Amino acid sequence: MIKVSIKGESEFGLPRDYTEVELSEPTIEAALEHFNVNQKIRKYLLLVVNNQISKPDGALQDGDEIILHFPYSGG
Amino acid sequence: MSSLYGASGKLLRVDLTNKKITTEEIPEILFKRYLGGNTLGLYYLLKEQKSGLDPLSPEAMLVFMTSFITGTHGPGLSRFSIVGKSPLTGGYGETEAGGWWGPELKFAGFEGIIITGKADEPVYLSIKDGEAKLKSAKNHWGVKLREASAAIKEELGDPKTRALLIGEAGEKMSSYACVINELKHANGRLGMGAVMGSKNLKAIAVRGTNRKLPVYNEERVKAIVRDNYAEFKEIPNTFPKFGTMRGVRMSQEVGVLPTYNWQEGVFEDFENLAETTYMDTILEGTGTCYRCPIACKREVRITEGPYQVQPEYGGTEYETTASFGPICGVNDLEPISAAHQMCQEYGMDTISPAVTIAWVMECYEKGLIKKEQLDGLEMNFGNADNMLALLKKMCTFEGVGKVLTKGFKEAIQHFGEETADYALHVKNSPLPAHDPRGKAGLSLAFAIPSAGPDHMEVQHDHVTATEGGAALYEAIGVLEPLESTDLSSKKVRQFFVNQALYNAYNAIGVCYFCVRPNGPFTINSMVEYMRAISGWESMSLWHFMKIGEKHSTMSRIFNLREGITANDDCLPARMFEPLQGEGPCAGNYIDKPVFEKALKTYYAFNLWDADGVPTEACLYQHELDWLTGEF
Repeated sequence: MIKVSIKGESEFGLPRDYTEVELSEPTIEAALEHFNVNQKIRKYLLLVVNNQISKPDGALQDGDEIILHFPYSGG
Repeated sequence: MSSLYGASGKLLRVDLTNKKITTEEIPEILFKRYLGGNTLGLYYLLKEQKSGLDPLSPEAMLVFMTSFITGTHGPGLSRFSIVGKSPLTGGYGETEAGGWWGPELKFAGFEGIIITGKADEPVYLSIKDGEAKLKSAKNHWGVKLREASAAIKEELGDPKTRALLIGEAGEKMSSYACVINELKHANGRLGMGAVMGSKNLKAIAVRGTNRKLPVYNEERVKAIVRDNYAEFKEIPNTFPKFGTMRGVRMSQEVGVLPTYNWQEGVFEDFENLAETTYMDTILEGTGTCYRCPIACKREVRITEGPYQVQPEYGGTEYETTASFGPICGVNDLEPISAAHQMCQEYGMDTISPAVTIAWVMECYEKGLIKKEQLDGLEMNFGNADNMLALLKKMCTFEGVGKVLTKGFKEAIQHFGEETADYALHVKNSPLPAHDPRGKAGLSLAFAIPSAGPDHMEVQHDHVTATEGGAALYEAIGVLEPLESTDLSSKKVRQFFVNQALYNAYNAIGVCYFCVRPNGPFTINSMVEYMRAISGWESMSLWHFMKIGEKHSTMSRIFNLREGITANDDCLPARMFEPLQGEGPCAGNYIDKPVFEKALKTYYAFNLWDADGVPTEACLYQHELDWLTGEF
């Protein structure tokens, strides 16, 4: 088990402000599962871990701060 | 009548000097070669306008162009292009808007209008059901947009008329003057409003009662739209709820929200400007364009205090909010909304004056511009009242405002060369509210386009950095996500194909927000839709993309003829310096040698030489050999 803090797109089920959660596996998939994020949106989410834009296949560490957002372009 | 489906095939020509109005056919082959919108408009401009002329002279052309699918059944087919020579950059001017005017022009019987000459006194053009007349606009000159629009509609006796107008900024020929339809939809950038103003043309009012455009296969058209909607509804989407305002939070979270004139990438008070605050405080409702299911437009009302705002002018969106907000250090949606409304009232772009004011603020704080040079205004970052006061001066050409409303080049000349490093522009056009140091592909979207830096030139790096986002572009050969800060040749390729796609979108006049990931159309279904409308069964994605590529070369040639060269494909010095402050992109910078290599690679993809000049092979590839020897 690891503890991480997560925030992101509240419309997709993620908390707007950092919220600490316990994950059984150190993966982004486990975090998305925890918040029951719609399967169809997952592959579009941009990931920031500890203030660094990151790839979703990396292993998470205890204490990580995670942001998950649907990317924005112009307009 | 034209045999072309989806269109009347008619072009209206208006010579204001001689008060002469004529109609001519647009041959179907031109639609096949250029589709419409920006590319067909640019064809006429290259073919008929001499190089080197003053964009504000009577001889200058101003072209309004829709396409053969504008106003048909599908979503988001409302956009039209205005093209001409830009008084801001001295090069190619192109600007798009949605709303209602484009489809109405189609219903009135025309695909496009070419304006030349100069009326001896203010006029407006009224077009109804195939007939066009010039009418006096003496009573509407100097009048704010809302009142002028209402008066013109009343005069024409038909409230269903759709009017496109300039405000006082256009009348006084500000290089930042825009053109606005239905008070909310702006052809915002590059000073096309000034070109209208130089011709004494206040407005173009259109009305068509025959609202059914001929379609080749109506059943197929409806089936394509139905299938796209069905599939799209299954994908969660926050765009209808938040519009572009969701961009404030997202840009903040990933560290690319330009702050204090691009010195930093996160804004400490961003929450005051976020989509949730907007909804909880100033939002009154949402607005939309012709047949659009997304309804991204916002409508704002503020009834108390010093920043009162009415919803008739819509509401501030991401670009305006970020430009008058973090870029100017302002942390309150109310003065930002007031700035937005002022720009609409006077017919002024929002990005350009905001970025100019941010430059003044930074130079003021650095002691390079003094209070006495600013009509006594103290211009620290975050001073919302003085931001509005300076904006008002720019809109009305009063005092120092007159100096600031012609673009950075003139302003730098006035205030001194030592201010130049803090002017965030390319080709004299101020940057939109994004930071290439966190989205490297945008460095090309800001440096290269003939019409200056453009946030709508391509899909942004953060979208194509995700597996799902990249997959949306598989049809045009984007097979893998690339990191947002990547500026390798792989990213240049991604930029090149994406730019061609977006150019082609502007040729047919589809809103990007009605194409995935934001809207129902997929790239392939868009092409299928064009086939079903036009009956051109051989129309392919290849052909569509080639027209997008062709547009890049045509606009390049326009600029080369005007003396704008590869030397102008540059970025502000700040982009090569580390981003200050905090956030995920702090410390990022554009690596100059990598950027310069990317430019050369891009030129080569286009079959341009190392100096960015189209080669003979390029001209023949795009059937542009008629431009041989022109540049």
